[in-house]
Amino acid sequence: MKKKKIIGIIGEQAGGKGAVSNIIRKRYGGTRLTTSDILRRTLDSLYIPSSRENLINLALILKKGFENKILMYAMLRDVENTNDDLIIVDGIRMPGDVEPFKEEYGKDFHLIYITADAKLRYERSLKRGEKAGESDASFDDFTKNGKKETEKHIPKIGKTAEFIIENNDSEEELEEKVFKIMEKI
Amino acid sequence: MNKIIIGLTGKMASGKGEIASYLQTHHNATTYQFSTILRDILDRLHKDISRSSMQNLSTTLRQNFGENILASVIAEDVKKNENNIIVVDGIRRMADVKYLTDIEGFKLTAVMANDKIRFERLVARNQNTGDDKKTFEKFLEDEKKEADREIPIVIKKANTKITNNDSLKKLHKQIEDLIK
Repeated sequence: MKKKKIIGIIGEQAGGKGAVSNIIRKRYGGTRLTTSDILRRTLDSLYIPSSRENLINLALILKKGFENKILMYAMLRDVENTNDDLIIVDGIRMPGDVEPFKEEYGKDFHLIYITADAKLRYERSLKRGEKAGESDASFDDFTKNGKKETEKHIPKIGKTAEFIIENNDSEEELEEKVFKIMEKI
Repeated sequence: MNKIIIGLTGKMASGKGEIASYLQTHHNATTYQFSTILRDILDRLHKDISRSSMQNLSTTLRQNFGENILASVIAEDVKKNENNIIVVDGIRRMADVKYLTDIEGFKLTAVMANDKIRFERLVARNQNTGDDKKTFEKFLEDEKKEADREIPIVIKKANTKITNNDSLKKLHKQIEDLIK
């Protein structure tokens, strides 16, 4: 089997992480893994709604109750068990998240940072209603979420990424930027 | 046949597991334990399924989502399950009973056995590390600990009692009578 290529995606809320994953998968295939999936399935089994707040809280209490790297190690194992040579890891957020992947995959791990204007991201989040309660949030709530423990380090880590995409334009322009990056990878 | 939900309570090694297993094998029952959901979550997190991980996860969840989170989850799972016979094994607290009592068809069943007989069974099966070296005194002491302390109270509340001091055959007969 070919060696695995791992693409790590980091970015603020509603910045375009999902969109980038979709663009990559449409042309190149691959499997997308997210920490949200692990958290969401756990909340589902507990009959707790998957609001962004509950997702963030669950992540924090699991890290506190067990160890800081618990979600990333779980992701690493999921990556190992996934039978695909292109894997997109969506949900890198905290200091220390990137290291396990770099250690394990070295040059085959590529980090892409997707960012956009805060107001633009807020508007997009209202439209899509991906997480419970998202379409009702105020800009204030949205900004508050961005300051939470699991979100506030993203810009800093993003700056160290191999590739940075500013997603303030159209979908077509986003696609072009993604394809340019994929050619390099 | 109407849905029956058998909630099993009883002290260590009284025979709850045996009853759950019998109903599963002979009557296709679905069995739930409070530990089931903990195991599923630990599995998804690729964490070891040890007694201490489960205890840790249980405490973490209760502290953050409320003391009764696991009981209410089992109640929801039971309500959704369309099987005719469902067993909820290992009810230890009155708070847990509260969530299940309201479900139609729920029978709280206490499983009783002599202390000495339970002790001998525990040592023989050696399920947890160190069980085979326990003394009878330590065995009785362990039952007074936090996790198992309310069991005598739950037993008193049970509508049905099964006594398991004899043969498996006698136990099986009582189980069959229970689900008639």
